[in-house]
Amino acid sequence: MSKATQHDPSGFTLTEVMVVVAIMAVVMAMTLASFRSYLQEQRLRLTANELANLLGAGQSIAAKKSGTCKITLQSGTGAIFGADSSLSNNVCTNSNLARANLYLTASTNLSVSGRTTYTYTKFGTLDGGSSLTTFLSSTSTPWVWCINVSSPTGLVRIGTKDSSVSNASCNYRRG
Amino acid sequence: MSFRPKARPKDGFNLIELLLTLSVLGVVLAGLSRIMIAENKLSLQTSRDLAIRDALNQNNQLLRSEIALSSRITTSTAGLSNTCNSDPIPSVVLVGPGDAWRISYGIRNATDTEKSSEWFGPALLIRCGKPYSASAGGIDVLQTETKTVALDRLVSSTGFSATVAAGNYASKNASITLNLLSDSGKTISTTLQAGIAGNQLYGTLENPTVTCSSPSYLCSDSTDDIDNYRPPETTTTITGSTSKEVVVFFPKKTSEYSISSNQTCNTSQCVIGNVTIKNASLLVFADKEWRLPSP
Repeated sequence: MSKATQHDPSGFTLTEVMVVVAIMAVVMAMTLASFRSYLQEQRLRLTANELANLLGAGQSIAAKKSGTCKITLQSGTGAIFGADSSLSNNVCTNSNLARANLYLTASTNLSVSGRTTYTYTKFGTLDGGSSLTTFLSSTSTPWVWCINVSSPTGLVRIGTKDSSVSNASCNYRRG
Repeated sequence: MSFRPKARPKDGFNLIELLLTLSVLGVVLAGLSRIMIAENKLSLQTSRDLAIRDALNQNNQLLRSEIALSSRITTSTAGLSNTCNSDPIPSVVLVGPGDAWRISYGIRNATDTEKSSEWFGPALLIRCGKPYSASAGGIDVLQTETKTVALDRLVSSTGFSATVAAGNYASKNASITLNLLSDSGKTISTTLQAGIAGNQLYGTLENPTVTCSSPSYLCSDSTDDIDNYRPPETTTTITGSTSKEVVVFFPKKTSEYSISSNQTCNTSQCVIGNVTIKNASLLVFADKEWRLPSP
């Protein structure tokens, strides 16, 4: 009978432990990188949903209070959402909107681009004749989230586009 | 004889045992993952169905407010109105007071480009009309008409039907049915029954066959018992007959006219904006009728 198949009752050798730890470290590093990207994508998804909810809240406040509601998105200040205080007759204020800030802040590498102001009329319709889109992106994921508000209905749609593909348009099937 | 469990080898499990355990675990995990995937799919489908209902409600809300703003509803087989004529689809047309604006809704199949990314097929509800603006306080009549997609996921052939009481200018009696297709293949339907105009007489303003020319502004649809007048917004004096019911039509809402609170409006005299009315019985505005009291 071969001796090689039998275990040493005294345990693993240092070399065996080191090899196992090294393999585990490599696997964990690979997993962590993709997990971080996944986590960032989930955070972007959450933010996109929150933004969509808040735009919807602005729309219903405008219709309910029969006034103009202007919402301004900011990037890099920590708060990326807020009512526009420069508009004197704005029926939307940070206190009557559901929440003052979105889930994510600028510290998570969130970037807001595209449309950053939304104005709703007293009918709850979007001001102007064309639909508007805000993009949320992060350095850790190639996916850009698109939040589109249609005119004049004010219907909010969430989609994504791949920033690594040039001139890619938003796909609202994935949101 | 006492029972003694079979002694296991001291060096652990053998290959057969390990393989057996792994395959049992594999089967269990595969089953679990299938359940989880199905759960996830169902939850996604439910949230998408809810989003479709939300979109439908939102669109109905807009349709309702536009019907309320309009003075009559009609249908068109020629296509979407004015600048959107390039989309030759049958449509239902909402006409604003004094023909100040027209908003058409029609349905057509989504194009391949639309279906590839932006919109879900099979059909789309298209809106053509002047946009809204906060500065105008509603529909901005100074802007040009724009064509937008109001709703997607409509069932193609039976997705939209609109019936309008034809030839009745005093009525907004229209029925608009929208059928949307959910992700799970269910049809979500809604029928919007536009109410008869609160102001039955107001529709007279919209009848294109009726003329109310200067200098008297007496309308051609006047009868032996009723004289209808449609004065311009410039300085005018309307003098009605004391032996008839005299109805004077104004194209806007009462709040849009300057009506002096110092004056006493009665059948003898009333001043609305630039128009002085003598011997009138009934004033008809976009939002209400105002029967004048005796002096």
